[in-house]
Amino acid sequence: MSLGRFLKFTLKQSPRKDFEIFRKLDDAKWGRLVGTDELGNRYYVNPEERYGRERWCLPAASPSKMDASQIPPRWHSWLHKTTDEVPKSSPEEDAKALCRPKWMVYPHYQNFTGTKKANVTYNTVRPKVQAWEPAAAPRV
Amino acid sequence: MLLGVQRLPSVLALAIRGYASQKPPTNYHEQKIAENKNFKIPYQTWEERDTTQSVWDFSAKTFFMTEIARGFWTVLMQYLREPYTLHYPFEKGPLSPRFRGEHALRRYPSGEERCIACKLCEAICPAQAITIEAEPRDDGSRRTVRYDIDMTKCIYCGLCQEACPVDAIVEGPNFENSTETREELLYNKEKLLANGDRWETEIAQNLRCEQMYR
Repeated sequence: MSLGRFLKFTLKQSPRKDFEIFRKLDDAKWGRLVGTDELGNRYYVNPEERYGRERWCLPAASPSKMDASQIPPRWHSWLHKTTDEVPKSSPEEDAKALCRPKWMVYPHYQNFTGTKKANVTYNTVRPKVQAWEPAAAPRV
Repeated sequence: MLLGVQRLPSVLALAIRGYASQKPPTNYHEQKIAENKNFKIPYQTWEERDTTQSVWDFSAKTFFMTEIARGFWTVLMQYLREPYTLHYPFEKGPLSPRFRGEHALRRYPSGEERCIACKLCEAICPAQAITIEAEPRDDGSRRTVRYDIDMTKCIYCGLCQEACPVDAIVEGPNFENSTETREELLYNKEKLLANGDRWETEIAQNLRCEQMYR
């Protein structure tokens, strides 16, 4: 990060916002706010950036709680440059644009590995062998 | 024999001429690439430097430590330049709509699961990561009761989604599914269906933009 870039960054926004961006991203980035997803993550675009760094996300979570998998599907495809289409304001509208019924929208959740909500696998089949209960008749 | 060949018409002679018309070299082990006499090392050798430089030049460079200064200058410029790398969790690299990431089982818009337990994915899986068991359900349709994917075996080749006749098993766009333990990577049917529900909008979008080529 060059000194010129840092000076430009400080002049672009308010010091409070600068502090938030620096605390979360550990980088001096500015751009146009494209939208906010349902989890509160904010997405920015700055076409003047170096190629590949134009689109970026300012996560809603605090730096200790941030995770790369917190980005919901439609914004995920925008951030990965799979589409240039900016997602609609709500996931229901996105589903409607894709001819999906409303109930097909599920709340996004992050990868819970390392927490208590981590995926625990289990058997989905009923047991095939019925165990024999040994019951000996009492001796007379 | 040689005389007979010479008397043949020229067309036939052309046909006869083959590999045997020219003897392969027998000494190709000993053939060496000719040494290039004009080759010159593109920088000054130590000997050349000693001969071209005067002792004063050499002493001045040593005394003022210009190499150190130039080294520091290089370090400074590298420190101040913009990085070449992406700032990953906030900026992400481009991803194809055909990207093969974490698996997901999809549903029809009616809520019915798509998988019909044909076991084509299980048959084609080169890593043998998929295990399926099927039973008839109460309404008479045959569905899977076990659909397990061992994600530690999976090689993400995408053959399962190509084999699937109903687009039930797909490899979604998510690749941030790394886990801290090995057990979390043994996916069962519920986990795969949950993946499908969660990523359905993006999977549907990717399938829609690829539908002309499938």
